[in-house]
Amino acid sequence: MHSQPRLRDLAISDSGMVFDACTGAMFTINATGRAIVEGLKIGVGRAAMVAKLRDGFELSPDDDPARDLDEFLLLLRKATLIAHDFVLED
Amino acid sequence: MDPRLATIAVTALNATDNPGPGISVIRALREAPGFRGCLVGLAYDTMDPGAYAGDIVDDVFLLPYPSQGREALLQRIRYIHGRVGLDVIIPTLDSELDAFIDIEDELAAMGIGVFLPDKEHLQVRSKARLARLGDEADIAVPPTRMISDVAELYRLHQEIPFPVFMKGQYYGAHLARSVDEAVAAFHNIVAQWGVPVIAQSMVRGEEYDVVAVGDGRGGLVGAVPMKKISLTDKGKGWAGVAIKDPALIELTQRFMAATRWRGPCEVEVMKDEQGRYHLLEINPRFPAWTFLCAGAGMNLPWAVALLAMGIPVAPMHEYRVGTMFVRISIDQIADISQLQQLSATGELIGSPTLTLAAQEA
Repeated sequence: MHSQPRLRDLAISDSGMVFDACTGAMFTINATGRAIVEGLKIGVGRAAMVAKLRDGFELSPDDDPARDLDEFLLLLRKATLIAHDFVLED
Repeated sequence: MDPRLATIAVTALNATDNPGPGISVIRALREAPGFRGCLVGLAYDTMDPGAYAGDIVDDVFLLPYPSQGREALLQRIRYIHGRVGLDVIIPTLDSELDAFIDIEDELAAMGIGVFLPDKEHLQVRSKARLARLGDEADIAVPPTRMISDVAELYRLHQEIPFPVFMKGQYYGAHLARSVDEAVAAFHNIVAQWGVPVIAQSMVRGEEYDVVAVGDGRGGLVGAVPMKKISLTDKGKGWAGVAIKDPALIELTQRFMAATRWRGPCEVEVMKDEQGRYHLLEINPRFPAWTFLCAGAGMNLPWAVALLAMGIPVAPMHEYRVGTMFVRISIDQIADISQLQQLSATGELIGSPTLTLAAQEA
């Protein structure tokens, strides 16, 4: 498992403000998104990431952390923060 | 001579919502470590706001407009040199560079250094020749045409589809979405800057700018890329942030290598949705946001001042990514006597910024 190089250039504040040092783009992410980005930065795999979300956040019965993870990865892909063909493997 | 004691003159003290680079360059020089020299502002108008910024500008002199020719400029510089003893001049306006390059030998004979490209290199990066430069440096440039006759605009769409940017030789860019808008922009630009007018295909994407200094031998002294994060209604950057994009630095290095550029410049680049970079312009002088580079730890104006004094500067690579600039409009307090003095004599020597307490004293 390799971390995505573009993610290493992200500066994330305690409040969830993200600065992309390569493009100058700024956006905010919530605590869940922050957990995912920080996991990706250090190369956490898919199963471990889902477990991290399941254990670290209060979930309702309808919540599906795997689906939320995929949707967030889609956002990161659109922002070119992860490669177009990046697949988060177990 | 200790360069930290030098007397350095900088042109262009206009500092409106579309500011000239002069004040930004002067502030950077003022922040150079240990600098205790004198900073002289060279203004073109008695109402240039920087003429009244006594906290950063020691002395102010009016210059003749570039249209008055090299002799008028040289005569004025001789006078100023006699008054304050100049070591370096840093011109910061496109329109005055020809004249300063013309008098470089005379300035050197007076002991005044400049660090400028020669005329050939100045032309190589001109908007009119940018496409050729792109080919030589392997940098993509949007399709561009020179327009000298308004009739050409009616055939322009056969080569470049609308919208296009209509640009003056020195300044100004108008977005034209149709022939009618292009014609209006053409006449507007010709009235200010003459022909040719440059028609450049519009590239959709994110704009990035790089302030850089070339060593004149094909190398890069230093560069800081910036992303604008707030614009004025004229499209000028009101806030921006230093970024880390190796591709922008590499593009800037290719420009330096291809042109053997000597001196400061601003590289304007558009990054399209596929992540490709397109060179929009090379401005042959410091940009108005130059103080950002000093704030980020890479003081390029000071590097230029040292190089102009013949002092070598090692290539600089480090700057603090994430350093921001945010402009501010402030009301400077001046006394009417300062305006009277500048109007009557063309100079303000050692004029302090007034505080309300000082006025009452």
